[in-house]
Amino acid sequence: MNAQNETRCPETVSTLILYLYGEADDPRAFETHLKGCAECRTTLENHKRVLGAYRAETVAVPQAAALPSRASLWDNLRHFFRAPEGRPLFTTAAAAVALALVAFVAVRVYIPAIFYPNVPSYAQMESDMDSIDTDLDSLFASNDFSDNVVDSGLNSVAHEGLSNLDSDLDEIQYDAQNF
Amino acid sequence: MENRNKEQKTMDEMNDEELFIAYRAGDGVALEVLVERVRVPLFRAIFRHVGERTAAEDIFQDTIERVMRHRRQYDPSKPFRGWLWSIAKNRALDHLRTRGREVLRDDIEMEHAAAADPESVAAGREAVGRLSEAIRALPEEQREVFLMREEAGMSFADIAKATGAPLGTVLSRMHYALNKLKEVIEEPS
Repeated sequence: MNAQNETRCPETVSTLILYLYGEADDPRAFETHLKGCAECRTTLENHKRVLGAYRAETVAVPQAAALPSRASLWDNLRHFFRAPEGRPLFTTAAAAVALALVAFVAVRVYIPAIFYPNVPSYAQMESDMDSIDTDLDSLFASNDFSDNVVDSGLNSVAHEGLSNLDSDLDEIQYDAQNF
Repeated sequence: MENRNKEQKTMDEMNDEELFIAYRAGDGVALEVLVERVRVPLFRAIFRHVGERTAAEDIFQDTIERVMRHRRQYDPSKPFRGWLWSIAKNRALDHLRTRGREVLRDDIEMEHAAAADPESVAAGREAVGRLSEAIRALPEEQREVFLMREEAGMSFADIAKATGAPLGTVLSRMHYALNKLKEVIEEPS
């Protein structure tokens, strides 16, 4: 398979690459072809050599390559909830969460609402805020601060609730610009 | 905790797309499992693309944040890793474009600095393998296919879906990329 054949017969190139990565539909048929085609054998060996050299160049992956800081924040809060003293810490943390939400809602939700009250995505945001309210209500009202309940409650608020609001705000801004 | 482990085992069996759909429906643990699964290939692909560790870390974080923020834009009929990679690639290209402008300015400054202290200037550049350098020199379409297959671990069929290119074209790009990289490893050091 020389340069000319590569352009005349792309099917062989395709099969060779698929075979190289174990994705060929009929590897035995290609192996039969390989037995009679020195050029394909050479190309295959060359490709294997390149991949071997490439894979030998290791890349260390840092611990920082993980979920971003928002998740870490909630993980920390989760550990805070689990402290042996339990209740008093929970009350303090719950107050902090409530305060943060009030600030978030005041600054990022109601201010846009004043400026963009009629954009279509605003209704979606109100619905998502109701979900957060419900999640928080059930978390605080359950009076059950076991790991599973706190995990589930915080995950729901942090990952789903606040992320939804963020996304809603993006959509509101987009809608507002195109309304 | 036992329930959590059972849940975890179930999630380990889910594919990337199922995990992301579960996350989108409100399951934060699904996102944790998914990020743990893709963090190594994603970081490696970004690093191979930009060649700078600090920049790769920033782009990685930014990519995950964008995935979370724009999760409703994901089309579940397409491979999750293709969508993930397209976000990371755009951020990496933005970085390279910005970096390109900075490099022009830095090169002038480096010439002045090198004249004063050549050793410290050399130490400031991170050493990367010749093939990593060569990958960044590949045409964008070939580099994309190479990294999606080699680093993101996507099948060629999924790469074709993600890029919108015919399968034969994707395979040809991989073949040409490998041919160009072969020239690099055959060059004398």
